[in-house]
Amino acid sequence: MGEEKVMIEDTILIVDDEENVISALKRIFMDDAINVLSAASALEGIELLKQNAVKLVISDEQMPGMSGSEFLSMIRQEYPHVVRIILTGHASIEAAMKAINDGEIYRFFIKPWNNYEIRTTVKAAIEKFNLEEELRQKEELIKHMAYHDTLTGLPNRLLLYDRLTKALEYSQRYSKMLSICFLDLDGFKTINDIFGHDTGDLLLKQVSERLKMSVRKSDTIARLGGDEFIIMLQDISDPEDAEITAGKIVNELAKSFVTGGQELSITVSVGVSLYPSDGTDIETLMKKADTAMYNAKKAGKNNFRLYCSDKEGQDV
Amino acid sequence: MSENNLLIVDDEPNVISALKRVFIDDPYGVYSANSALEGMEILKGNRIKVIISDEKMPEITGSEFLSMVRRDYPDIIRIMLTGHASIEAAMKAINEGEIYRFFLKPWNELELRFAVRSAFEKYDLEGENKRLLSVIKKQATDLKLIEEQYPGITKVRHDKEGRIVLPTVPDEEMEQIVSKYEKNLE
Repeated sequence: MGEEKVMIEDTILIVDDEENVISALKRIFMDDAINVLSAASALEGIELLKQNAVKLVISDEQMPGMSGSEFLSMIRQEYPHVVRIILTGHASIEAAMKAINDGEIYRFFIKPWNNYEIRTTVKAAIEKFNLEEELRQKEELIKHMAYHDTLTGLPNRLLLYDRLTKALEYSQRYSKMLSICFLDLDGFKTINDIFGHDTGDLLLKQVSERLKMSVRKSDTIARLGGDEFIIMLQDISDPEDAEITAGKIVNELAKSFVTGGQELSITVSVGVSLYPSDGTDIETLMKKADTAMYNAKKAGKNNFRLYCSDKEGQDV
Repeated sequence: MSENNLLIVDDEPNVISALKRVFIDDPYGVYSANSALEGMEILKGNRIKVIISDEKMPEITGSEFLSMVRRDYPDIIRIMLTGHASIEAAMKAINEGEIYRFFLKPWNELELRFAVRSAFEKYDLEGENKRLLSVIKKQATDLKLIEEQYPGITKVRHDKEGRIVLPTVPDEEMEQIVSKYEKNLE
């Protein structure tokens, strides 16, 4: 049986305090590719829900401890996509209303049940669940693709600007400093020319991994495209914090990479701008970080420069 | 277009007027009908998003009416409001009418208003999901069609400088693809 296991298995959960009810219900799905779990109480059921990707729950109403309608209301809160069905021998109108209004149940069945009806209902509900699940995953993917760079998985310009907008509001309200580091790899084009695009892409991925290790989790690293990255350092207390991070980035990237079996060396030029001293809006801060990066390139690459306001006009 | 229209179905005119008063401060278009048949007529001519129906009505019961609505207008969110507190009615309403809420008369005004508001939200959310699904499906078929005609075209190729390389397609053929695509979009 283990060998025949299909890749995507539909798992359902039956909760009833009577063992013979559970075994009778299990027999309904004997010929279906459905994995049937069972529990004798709501609490036991909750444990199973935590450990398994359950798509549908059939629950009795009257059970010791938590009632079926309470149990299904809880499932609706915690696992809103799981299909919820009540199968009960006796229920009050209050319990039924709770199951409908709070548990948003899919079906309400009375014992003794009709095997055929249960089977077709469950199969149709699973089909519906799978369709909706596919949609949810695609939606997730579309959202992710809209806000991330496909090669490195880093935030893209859109997400960066969104986070910058929020971070600037935060910095203003709490009088905090913020820094933008503009990164441009030195000689990346040459690596692409010599080793080809696949190697170049691989190197960009490795660079992004190394960048992640050089900053705090709360900082944002974004790839603007090509070999340009932006790092937003939020909540810093001193310009020196930005300098330390920029220096760390330059040093970390200067260590060689092993990419596709080859040892590659790449360096980076970093330009740093600070909120509020260099500007208070995204455009100005980005432009000044870019200017500072250009100064770092002119100063021989493989280093970082802070934006220097008295040089304004000369470098633009 | 996105007007929030509510339909109330009840055979007692005073219930209808009392319910209309419940929603007087809410930004809904409120329609009413004295029977299921009348309700069906209103559904034909108006874009209703949410229905509140009584259960016990002459000729067609509320749960029968709501299961017809479910069959013909599955997007409409269905609420049952009944004075008849039987488990059978609740079962029929949920199993056949797939109702969203079940309330008893006399109703709690706040509870009812809250339920109707979340019903409208549910309607809009599900509509958005459906729209998204059809976009995804359409894009997938478009890509498949194009890929079938021009194998490899949907893969992005770069040259050494990182520029995107486009396959050479004769002008007339390009025009054909574009016009076909535009037709698809319509």
